Amino acid sequence: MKERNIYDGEFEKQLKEKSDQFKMYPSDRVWNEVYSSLHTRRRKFVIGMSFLIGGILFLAGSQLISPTRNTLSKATVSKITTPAKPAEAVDLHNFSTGSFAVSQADKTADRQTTAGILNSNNALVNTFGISPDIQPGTTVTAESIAVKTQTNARIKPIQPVEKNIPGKSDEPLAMAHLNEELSAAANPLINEVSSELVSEKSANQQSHIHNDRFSWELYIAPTLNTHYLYGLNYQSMSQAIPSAPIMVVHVANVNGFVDNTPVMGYDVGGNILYRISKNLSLKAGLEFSFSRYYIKAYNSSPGQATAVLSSYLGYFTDSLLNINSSGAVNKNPQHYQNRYYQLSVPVGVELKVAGRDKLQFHIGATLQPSYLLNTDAYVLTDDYNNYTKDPRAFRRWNLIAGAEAYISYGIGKIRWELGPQVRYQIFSTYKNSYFLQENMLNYGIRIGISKSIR
Amino acid sequence: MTEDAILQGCLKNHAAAQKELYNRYSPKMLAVCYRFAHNREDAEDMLQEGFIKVFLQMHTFQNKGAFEGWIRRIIVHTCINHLKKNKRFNESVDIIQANSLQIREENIPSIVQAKQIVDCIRLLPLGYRTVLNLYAIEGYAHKEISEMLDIEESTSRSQYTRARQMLEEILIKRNLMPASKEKTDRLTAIH
Repeated sequence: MKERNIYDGEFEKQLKEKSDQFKMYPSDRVWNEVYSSLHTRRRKFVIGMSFLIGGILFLAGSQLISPTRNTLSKATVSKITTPAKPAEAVDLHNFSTGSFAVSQADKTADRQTTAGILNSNNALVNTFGISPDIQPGTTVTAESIAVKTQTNARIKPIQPVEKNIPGKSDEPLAMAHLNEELSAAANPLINEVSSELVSEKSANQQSHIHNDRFSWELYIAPTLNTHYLYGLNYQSMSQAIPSAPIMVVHVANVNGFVDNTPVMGYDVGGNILYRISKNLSLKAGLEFSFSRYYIKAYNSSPGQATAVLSSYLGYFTDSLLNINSSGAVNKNPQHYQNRYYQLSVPVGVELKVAGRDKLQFHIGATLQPSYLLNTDAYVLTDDYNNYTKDPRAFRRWNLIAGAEAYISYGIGKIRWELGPQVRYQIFSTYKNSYFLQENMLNYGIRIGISKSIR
Repeated sequence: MTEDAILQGCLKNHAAAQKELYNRYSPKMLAVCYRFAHNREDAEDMLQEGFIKVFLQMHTFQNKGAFEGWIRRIIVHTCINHLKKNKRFNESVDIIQANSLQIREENIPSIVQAKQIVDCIRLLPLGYRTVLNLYAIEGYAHKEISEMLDIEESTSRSQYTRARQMLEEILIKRNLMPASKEKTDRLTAIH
């Protein structure tokens, strides 16, 4: 047996041949991990959108459902204002914060009997008839309070004179007025009352501002529905689809083989808007969309359709009623409608670009996870000769990008909205396994109303 | 599905095409990983990482060579990176003077199963095994190996010589390769 140098290569060759024959089959975990890594963007998007929508709905729900502070005050009033002993005296010196809760509640309940609706302090003063000349140590009976409340004749309500002062809001001035009165009286108790009520008023103001952040809108938009078809690499299709005509494979723009006409559809929906700054709002809602287009084709007899999911996964054949797009069978073309019904959840932002109270100009953009409700539309067979119906070809979940611009005009508490909108379907109407892609593009005029939620 | 159709589908990030590609090549590629890896679990990790790279770098594939070869190169590089990252590769690097070594001409009998060969390769220390895998099976030159493993070219040569010698001894010991008289004498002396 002769020896040879290690780099001769025969040993390596045999080693390689033997090693290459060896195969192992990985566990399912590997593919699952690979798949989730490759499609992580889609997953992140779904999770992100879920959190966003959930957050907005939670916020909206909690704001709309939770009771306001005023309601609570009224509830307190009904419980406390009934005097147990009409003649029981109350020493103003001994007024505690709890006692003033009663007073504050009373002013809410007795607003009709007083003119001091400008702010809670006025109401308090008027309700109790506390005038600046009340001195520390003065004893006020519940009875006298009741009398003063009912008659209210001697007490001159604080008039909203501040309204005459331009450029200032009513409430701060009314507060100033009250403070003046209280200061004049030099009554530390009243000052205490004042500060209590100022904080209460401030909380009420904040509550109002908070509530003003929400608004709702309803809209309808007649739309014109266009769509775009895209094919695969036609050179490779020639191998995958042996039956495809040569001209399809080599010339190959699918839009040249079909005759589709845009038709009117409509979108209708509603949103809840949450104002995060003076001009910027977040919005989320629900929209129903009906879109359609005409297919110009020719009737033909039922036959075998080499249907849709063929380019990747091998042929499916179905005995379905076909509509021929080439005109070879019947020379009178017919119009068939492809209808799509979709539900979507628009989530997005809206920006007030210009305008004041009455007239405003807004722009907005949304992303809309959508769900296709029907799958009975026609699809093109892989030889481009026929249309057939195959629900397997349709993608149920999709994503739509929307943009709009509109003018809004306020009449009373309602704002009317009018402007153009456009919606583009990001993913194909069809599943990836179908050899064509279809992306819908809808233009429309949006007509809507909106109103603040208080 | 043709290879072109798979390629086009993968370029469009179509899951069906990706799965098809994976099903077609993962058994071979896992075997490659297994020869480099410490155990099956590590091999699957390498395979997973490698296939993610394959899909993400699909656009860089130009139809100049075999698709399988392109995938295999990515997988092998992934294995090497994995070993480096886990610092396992440095565990058993030593330098053997290879120039004086002479090795027999004996062939591996055809009856020997692939799995037996792979099992024998996996008995080698990691450093030897890596060089042997890269040189004898994957066909890399020592210069390339030295760059991949950050070692001297001479080190790669000596590692390979020693690896091959050890592999032969293992094959002989397991009766997968006929022993020469010289080798038998040496093995008898050792044991």
